[in-house]
Amino acid sequence: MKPLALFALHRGTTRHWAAQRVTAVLLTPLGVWFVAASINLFRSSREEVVRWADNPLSLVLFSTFFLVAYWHAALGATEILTDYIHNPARRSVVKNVIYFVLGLSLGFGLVGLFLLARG
Amino acid sequence: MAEFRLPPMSRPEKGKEWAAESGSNTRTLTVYRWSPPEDGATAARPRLDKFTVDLSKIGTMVLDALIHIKNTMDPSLTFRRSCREGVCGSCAMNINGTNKLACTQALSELKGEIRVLPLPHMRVVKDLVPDLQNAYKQYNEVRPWLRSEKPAGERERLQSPEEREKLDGLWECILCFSCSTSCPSYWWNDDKYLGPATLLQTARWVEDSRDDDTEARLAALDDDFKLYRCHTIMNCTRTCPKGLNPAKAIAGLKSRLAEQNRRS
Amino acid sequence: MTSSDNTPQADRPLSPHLSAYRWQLTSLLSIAHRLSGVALIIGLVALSFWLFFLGQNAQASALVKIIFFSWFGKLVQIGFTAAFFYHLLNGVRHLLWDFNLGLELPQVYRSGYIVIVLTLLLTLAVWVGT
Repeated sequence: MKPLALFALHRGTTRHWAAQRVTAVLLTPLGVWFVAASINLFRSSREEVVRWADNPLSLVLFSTFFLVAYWHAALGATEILTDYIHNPARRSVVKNVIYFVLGLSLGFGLVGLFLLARG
Repeated sequence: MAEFRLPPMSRPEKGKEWAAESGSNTRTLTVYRWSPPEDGATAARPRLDKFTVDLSKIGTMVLDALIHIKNTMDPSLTFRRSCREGVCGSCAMNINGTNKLACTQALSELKGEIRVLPLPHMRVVKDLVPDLQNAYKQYNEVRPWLRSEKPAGERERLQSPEEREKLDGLWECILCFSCSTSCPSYWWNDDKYLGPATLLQTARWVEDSRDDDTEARLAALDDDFKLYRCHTIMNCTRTCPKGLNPAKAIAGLKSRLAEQNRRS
Repeated sequence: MTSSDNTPQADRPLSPHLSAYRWQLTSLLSIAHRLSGVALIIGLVALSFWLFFLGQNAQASALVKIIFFSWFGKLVQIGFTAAFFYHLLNGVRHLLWDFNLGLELPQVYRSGYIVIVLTLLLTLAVWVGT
């Protein structure tokens, strides 16, 4: 299989499987960058973080990492639910709750990022 | 929800300790026992019986010890066996924590007390005999035979040596289901996930140059469960008594299916 | 007379599985991948709230910093770091498998040990080296 095959998403569960791999492939370099960039970030003051977010490159890279990580998290969570929750109706309820919480949390993160980028 | 613990009535309790054989070289086997209730009686919990056998009286394999126990200590001990040389797949069981064929598992390779249980997460018919009906039903579901539109000719359907080579590592499977019953994914979803044994058999026909139904075989796997509950845990490959690699066969199925869907 | 053929399926005991199957590198690293994944989802939510509070004002930021660098906060962060490196490295292992690479058992064991050692080294490097 050619690596590019992963980027063509089609129907069925294969699509979910492929999406999980595509996001993993994207997250590998982004994750390495994130660790390198964030080693000192968490212990920085607000001003330092604002200065960090002022750099368009780090803002773009971080936003990409952030969004893809959430996507990957949602795919992974679905996988776990499919493994362990056998009742389809209950599985779908739990899935939607998790998606909602993840969406909410993503929203909080993006608001924070926006405020920091603005200074 | 997946049940990670055994139901209370399935938890083995301490069983009978049988009179030990004397001798300078003995081994103790702890063996899973359960019998269906007599008519009208209520079912008892399974128990773990202890047998100590004199190694000088028996052959070298776990199966030899089980046959010796059945012949000289407890004739009611029940297990499947036939070829006693690793080609029939009948005597697959969980020995010291992993699935093996009792006939090819040497006693000398096992440390300490030997624990013999039925294949994991299966309904027990009696003692070491698991109910394999579901596994066979799933095997049947993938229609494991040559499917071709071409009429049978006067001779065999020919293959090049290279085409034939692709079946190596697949055709040797003896359907003992050691791999399927070692797989946690199969434990939690054995009603819907096909499991490594049946998927390896699917790969065996998908890879066969004489078979013309590859596309349908792959398409039939494209749902949430049949194929994609495999998370490459690798317990299957680790345990296969024939040294085959179901995990690799399944990875092949996944990439072929992805490729097929990409093209369509 | 016993009636083994007529025993209802539900009356038959289920044979021991999780509690009886021997833990080995294959299954251990697999469940560790799943657990680290779950930990990282929680970490991602924590990261979002860190951004959110930091975005508010200097006061909220100072409070978050105190929480993050209490001994407990530090311990949790070390855990997240280890989970992150493990999931990343073992994820690469999974991606290679998906391209049909390294699926022979000796290779599986070798790559497994490499992932464990690198996870430890990288986690140490982040927390001791900086």
